[in-house]
Amino acid sequence: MKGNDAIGEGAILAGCRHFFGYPITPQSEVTHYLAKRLPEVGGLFMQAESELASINLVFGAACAGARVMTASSGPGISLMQEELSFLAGSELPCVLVNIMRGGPGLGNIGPSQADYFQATKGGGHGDYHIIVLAPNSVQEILDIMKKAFDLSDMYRMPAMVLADGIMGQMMEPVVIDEEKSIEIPPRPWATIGRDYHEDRNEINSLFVILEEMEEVNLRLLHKYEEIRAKETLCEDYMLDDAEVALVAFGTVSRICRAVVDKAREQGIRAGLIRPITLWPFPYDVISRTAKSVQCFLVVEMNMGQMFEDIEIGAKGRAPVYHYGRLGGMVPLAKDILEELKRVSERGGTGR
Amino acid sequence: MNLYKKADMKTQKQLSLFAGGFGSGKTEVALNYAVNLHQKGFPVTVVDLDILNHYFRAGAVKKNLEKMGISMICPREELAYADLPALSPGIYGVLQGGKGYGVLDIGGDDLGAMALSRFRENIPEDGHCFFLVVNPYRPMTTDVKGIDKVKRSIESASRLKFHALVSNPNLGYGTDIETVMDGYQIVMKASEELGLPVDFLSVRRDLADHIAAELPLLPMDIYMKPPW
Repeated sequence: MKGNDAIGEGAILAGCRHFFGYPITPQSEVTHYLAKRLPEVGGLFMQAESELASINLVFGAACAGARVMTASSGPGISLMQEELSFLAGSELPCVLVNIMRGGPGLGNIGPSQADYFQATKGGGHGDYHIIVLAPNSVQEILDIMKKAFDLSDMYRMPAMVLADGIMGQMMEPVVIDEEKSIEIPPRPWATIGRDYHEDRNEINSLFVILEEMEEVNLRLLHKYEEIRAKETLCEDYMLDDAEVALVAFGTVSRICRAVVDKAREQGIRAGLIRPITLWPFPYDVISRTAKSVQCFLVVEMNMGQMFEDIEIGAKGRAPVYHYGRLGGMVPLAKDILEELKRVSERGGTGR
Repeated sequence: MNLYKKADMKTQKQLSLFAGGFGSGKTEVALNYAVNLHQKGFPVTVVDLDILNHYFRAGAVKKNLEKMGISMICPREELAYADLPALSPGIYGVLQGGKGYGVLDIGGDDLGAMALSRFRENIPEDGHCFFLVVNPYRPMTTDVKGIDKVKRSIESASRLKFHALVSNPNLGYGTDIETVMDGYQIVMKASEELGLPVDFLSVRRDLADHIAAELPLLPMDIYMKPPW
């Protein structure tokens, strides 16, 4: 199955029956796949006239209590940022998928991880977060879709699956577990009319009384604290005795895994940390590791975005280096290995 | 082992066209088919007619093929990632038989086959064989009904009729002998019900020795690999 197909099938397995979107390379197969599949399972697929329309349709369906999603790539996700802030402010569950491509601007259709800041630090206005999940295989894409919907529902907030073009375009065998039962939690807050609720439901992100707004902000803050404590996901590889810790997510984490093996063959004790949730970020793992390694090498397909979170996590206890390929280019294992050798021999922080 | 050796000067059509569903393995099959022809002494030109998939397409292995002595026609380097349906005028030369035997790698589904439709009038009626590559492990072609749907949609978009199926049952690197044999049965069933012969069974080279099938085998080397 292709990564983009797995996004679609994963959503269907998660009980999602509503999709609003607009095609963009390298995401287009998600729309293509769901256009075919959703009608087969009694769902609704709508190609909107733009990404702005897509995300507003998502807002409407979420208000009505649907498990709903959209998918795009960087330029389309940028267009959706205003409404994403409104979704967060209105505490509505929904899932967004960003199959990242080269940027900024129109950029190109090559694979990239340059939307890390936008996804994890909030591209829209106001004090908010969204849950960000970063799979690194087609199987994980399939499984993580359900996770994204479940978390989004549980905490009533948008969740994003963040993957690069290679994840979307590559094909791998997958195992589909169709027996898993889907439990979609009740939505007593949904605006579906007085026939269904005793009280009038209202979904809104406008709070003109300052104290009321602060109360909402505090509620969101407490929710975010709970998510940070409970939902952080991270994987490591050969980290126990590592002298150098590579840190990477998505496609690059797979390349780095190969680098760890190669480095160990040459007697360099390398290990790998792979954050699976990018928000909440596994700062604890980084802090812990900072005490035992000589340095970190963060590898990304951008100019150093997750790098800043590693610096926060390391708290100055270990130097943090960055190696990135930009503009749609993919780092090669041999180049990362060279960089790893270089940084393990010098001190300080740099890129 | 019954190796694929149909190609001889008398029966080999001048043009071999490979179409199929998204991700059915058209590109790998087309490349291996071209190498097979080349090794038998046929002058071969590969045409990358995929206007949809810019990540995993034949053009990416142009240099490797040229080293082997196979020429290739694909969008100019600066247009390879342009996300535009830009096709090289050199394609006409291949269709007119000026460049030996042509192997055409068509984009996936009816959307990809639309590019072929543009050349409909330049494809000699008796001089081509149109292959439908089928991987029964891909979501849209897991049964005869799905295969038929893809077949009809591609025929309608390309304005050409298929002559034969290519059986390409695989789960990528997760493929084993059982995978191939189970999938092979689905394609054989489709062949029977759709009234199209299966021209050959393509299978990864290391598995080819262990496959007992009536069909001729095309042992495949994998050209399109991810960067790790």
